[in-house]
Formats: sequence, structure tokens, C-alpha cells
Amino acid sequence: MENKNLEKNIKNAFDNYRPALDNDEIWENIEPHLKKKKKRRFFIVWFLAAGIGLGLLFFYDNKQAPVLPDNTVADIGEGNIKPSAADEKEEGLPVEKEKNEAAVSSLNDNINIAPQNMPSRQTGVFKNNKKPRPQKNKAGLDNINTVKTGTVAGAGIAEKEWPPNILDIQKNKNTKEDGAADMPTGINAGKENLAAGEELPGIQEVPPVVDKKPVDEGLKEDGTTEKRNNKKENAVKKKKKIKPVRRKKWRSYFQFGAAPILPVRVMKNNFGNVESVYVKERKKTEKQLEAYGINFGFRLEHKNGLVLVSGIEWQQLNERFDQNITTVRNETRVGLLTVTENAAGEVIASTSGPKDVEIITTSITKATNHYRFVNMPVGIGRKWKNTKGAFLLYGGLDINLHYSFRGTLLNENLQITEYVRRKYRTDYEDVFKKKTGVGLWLSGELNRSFSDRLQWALAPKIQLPLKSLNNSDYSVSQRYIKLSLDLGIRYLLNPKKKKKKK
Amino acid sequence: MKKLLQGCKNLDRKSQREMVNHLSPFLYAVCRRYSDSHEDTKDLLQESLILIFNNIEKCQSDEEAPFKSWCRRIAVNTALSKKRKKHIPTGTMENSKLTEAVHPNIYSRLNVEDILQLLQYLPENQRLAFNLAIVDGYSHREIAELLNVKESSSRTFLTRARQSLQQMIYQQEID
Repeated sequence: MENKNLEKNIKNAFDNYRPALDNDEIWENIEPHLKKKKKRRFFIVWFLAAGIGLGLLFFYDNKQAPVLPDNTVADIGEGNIKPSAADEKEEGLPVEKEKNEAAVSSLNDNINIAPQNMPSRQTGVFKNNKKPRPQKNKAGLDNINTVKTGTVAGAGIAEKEWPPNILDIQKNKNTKEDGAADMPTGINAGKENLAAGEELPGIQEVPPVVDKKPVDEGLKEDGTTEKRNNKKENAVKKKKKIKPVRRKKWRSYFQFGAAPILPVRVMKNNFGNVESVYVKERKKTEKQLEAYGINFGFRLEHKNGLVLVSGIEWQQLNERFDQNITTVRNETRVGLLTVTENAAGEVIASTSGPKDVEIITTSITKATNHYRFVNMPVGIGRKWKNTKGAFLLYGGLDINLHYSFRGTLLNENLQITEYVRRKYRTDYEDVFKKKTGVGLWLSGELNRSFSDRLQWALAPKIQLPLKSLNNSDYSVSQRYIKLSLDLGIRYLLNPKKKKKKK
Repeated sequence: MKKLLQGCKNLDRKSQREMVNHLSPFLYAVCRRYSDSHEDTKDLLQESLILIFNNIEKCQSDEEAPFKSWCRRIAVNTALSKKRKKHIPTGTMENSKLTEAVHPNIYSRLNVEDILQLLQYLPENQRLAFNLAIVDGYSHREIAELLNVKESSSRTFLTRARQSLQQMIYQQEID
């Protein structure tokens, strides 16, 4: 009973015990240790950066487009679609046609180029007032163009400077070769980075210092202490102590992956802001098909989370032309003109003679194009680890090493034409030969380890080319923004060495 | 209280500040029983508060009583783990035979400081067993788990603590 009273009193005393405390002081002490609200500033920064990047991209694109010349592409295009007999007569084309045919026949003797093939090549819609040419070839080249355009497109194209002078092409070629010679510096820079990263793990491979002798070595069996005056031993020990045991700062990975790609094509008229019929027609007829890529490279990860990436990436983009072509042709044919019938419905008399007939032909043409890119992405980023895996966010420059095109394109007459590389030396050829320049890329990555050295990774990626695929004489400026989802394997090249058991 | 608790779960600083005002006296009383001085108690209180706020989302109830009970458990566990780290040797006290009766009025005159002073004289295990069983309402099984002893030992500690306290109170009365 007494015990119960004692315990009850003690419990009550403590329950009612509310001392006066300095809560401000307690709060000041605990506040720095409390969890903070997660700020989404990081994502905002990336979204802002992406926005600015896109803004610059379009600004750059608009700045590059020259002022619309007098002979606009739109005008030419409209003339291309519906050429009528009346128009032809007004423009006096048949007369010019005869002249041109004569000129072409004379040109064929001098230049070994088939006149049928030459004008029917791809876009062929070029700007006025470009590149003064030597007098020697002017007449012949103009005539070729006239022959081609005169039959369908109208007289407006006859004054255009297409195709350009061979000397100019040679100049262009030389300048491109110079540009190509600059590329290896970029590659070497990437290799230097890699080499620097690979040396680092080697420095860190210092074996851990292990004292072989027990701590109480100086103690004799009889309890007396022994003076340790063996200088050599001490010197060796000191040397051993000086050596720091370093942890590996850098981890290097070899990475390999494959990705389906969703290309988003941005196609614009190169000669002005007005979207030409040609561009409209290309947008209408061309369909983006499958696109895919393979990549491999090296990645260095610092223990503080810094990530450096470099590698090589091969991509192929396929697109298809699906064009419905309707041609209208007027012909004069002989047939019945009038028929006379009696009351019973029998034919009494009929007259026959020549009659103008409109013949409409509709055909569907299909063709596939392949765009191939070899890029060298170089990037920097950050890694966040958790218990199961890691999340990485990195981005950087995408340096194009090689670009090629194979397939069929729409010419200025809106007809599908096969593109054959190196067949003609024109500016147009250069559009499909030159590299696509430098772009930006941004990627996130989620990876998980499934063994000591291997990881699988899922990495969505966006690639933004900074430069359009065009040149000054090419009527269309086009670029491909690529969205991809990379599924890859990461292999750790320098794992931690396990301590050997003695 | 619900709003305050929800605010704390959303890591709202104002709510946390208010919660500190609300919880500090109660938790101080708990911590004081498991520490030797005011300074130690303050340290223990701050550590407990940090743990409470950083794990508050694990407290499932929004009611005051279960929440306070949860906080008390955290404070007690923090105190015990701190003691384990310090490796305080458990003292032994000879169990003297107490036969003298103590007048009941003496108990009502005892204040918290007196009780705390008396508890300080008890060996560590006995003090902990007394605090856990009598003041905080833990069962002997729980005490055995917390102190890493047998259940029977926990009972023994409590019995001895009771006897010692009675003896000490009696002795004080005589003096």
C-alpha cells in the first residue's frame, strides 16, 4: 500500500512537471538538423536552359534566312503545279523551247552530262544573284535550266544560276576540306579527357598499409619493456606511415546501348519566312518512319557525383515519300461530233472530226530515304545514388563526324527523283555531303547494378542540332530534333580490389 | 493539433516551431528522468526533437495522445541508446533490509527535484527499471528487451529500486 502511494505520487509529480524552458534556444539548436522541403529549383533551371536553347535555336534559324528575292519560290512552285496551255502561249515558251533545245544539243557535245538527268535533280530551286560565273559556261548552263523549267515550270526560272560554276564548286570543296581538317581536334580533345580519366585510377591503387607486428611487441615475457632502437625498422615504419591510403576517386565505365528514336523534323523555307509550295509538298508527301541508333563510349564518375561522358553514336533515320501525282493532258482526237436521230430514236446522220480531249492520269509513287549520322557526344553531368541504383543527368555537345543521305527526293517540279551521290558536282551535292555541325544533347539515366561490374541503364535523351541541313543556294532548311530512349549496359572497368586473406 | 501535426509532416517551419513550444516541457520531463543533469537533459531533448521531426511521417495517428506516446517512446529510446553508447557500468547496491514503516504524508510532500535527487542515488539498472515501469508504464517484457536483460531481472531491479527509495525517504525523514 505504501509502495503504491509512493509510486502514484512520483508518477503524478512527473506528469505535472512542466519546467519553464527557453524554447527559442532549443529551436535554434535543432533547426539546422531538420529536413528541408525539397526544392524543385534544379528542374526549373534545366527547363529554363532548354527554353533558352530552343529560343536561341529559332533565333539563329531566323537570322540565317535571307530576304525573299523577287522570284519567290512560292511563285515558282505555283507555276509548277498547274501549267496551262494558255500560260505557255502567253509566255512564248514554245519559241524559247526550240532555241533551248538547240543550245542543249550544242552543250552535249562539250559537256559530258545528260541533259535529262541534270535538271531533274532533287530540289533545284535556287536563289537569284548568287556567285558570278565565268562567261564561258553561262549560256550553256542557263539553257539547260531553261530546257528543264521551260517545259513545265515556266519562264521565271530561266534566269537562275543553277547549277553553279565548276570552279566555285572546287572552291567550296576546298573550304569544306579545311573544315573537315578541323574536326580531329575535337576528337583528340575528347580522347585527352579520356586519357586523363584513365590515369587517375592507376594513381589510387596504393595497397593498404598493414602493420605486421603486434602492438605489445616491446613487452617481454617477464614483464620488462624492451627499447626499440632498431633504426631501420623505425625508418621503414615511418615510410609506411607516410603513405596515405587513398580511396578510388574515379570510376570508369564502358557503356553500350541501343535506342529507338523519334525524330521531329523542322523544315523551313530557306529564302524567306513564307512557306513555299515546295516545302508544303514535301511536308505532305514525306512521312517519318522508324529511326534507331547504336552507341558506345566511356564514362568517368567522380566520387563526389561528377560525371564525364564521351563516345561514338551511329543513327539512321528513315523516311518515305508517298506521293499521289495527278497529271492533266489535253489531246486532240478524232471522234463523233454530232448525231441526228429521228422520232423513233434511230440515227439518221452523224458528223465526225477532230476534238480536244482532257486526259487525267493519277499515279502513286513510293520511295524510302535513309539519313545516317555518326556523332561524338561529349558531356558532363551529375550522379545521385540511392540504395538500389543511381540517377544521372548529363548533357553536352554532339559533334557530328559523318553524315550521309541515300534515297530519293522531290525536285522543283514536285517529281520524285533518285538521288545519286557524286554523280553531279553542284551545290546541291554539298548539302548532302557536309557534316551537320555541332548540336546539344541532354540525357537522364536510371541505372541498376546486377553484378559487381555490370549495370543496366535506361536513358531518355534529346538531341538538338544547332545548325540546319542546308546551304545558301538550297531552298529548304531542315533539321532533325531526335528524342530517343536508350537501353544499355554499363561495364565497370576499375572495380575495388578485394583484400586478400592471409 | 491535427493541423499542427499535418504542418510538421509537410516540413512547414512555423508548425515545427509551434510544436517545439508544445512538446518541449513534456519531453523535458521524460528526458530528465533518464539523464543526470540539466545540460544532459537539454541535449537529449534536442536529439529527441530532431528525431521526432525527421521521422514524423512515420507517426500514423493525428490525435494528440497517441502522438505524445510516440514522442515519449522516441525520447526514451534515444536516452537508452545514448546510455548504451556511453557504456555506463551498472552499479550494484547491497540490498538492505527495510523494515521501518514510512509515514504516508511524506510522499505527498515530495517534489520532482527531490524525487530526481533520490533517483540519482539508485544504481543505473534499478533507476531505469523504476522509470520505465512506474512512470512510463512499460511492461517487464518491454523493459527486458530495452535493457537487454531477462524479464526476471527486470522485476528484481524494480523491487530493489522500490526498497531503496523507501529506505532513502525514511532516512531523509529521520535526518
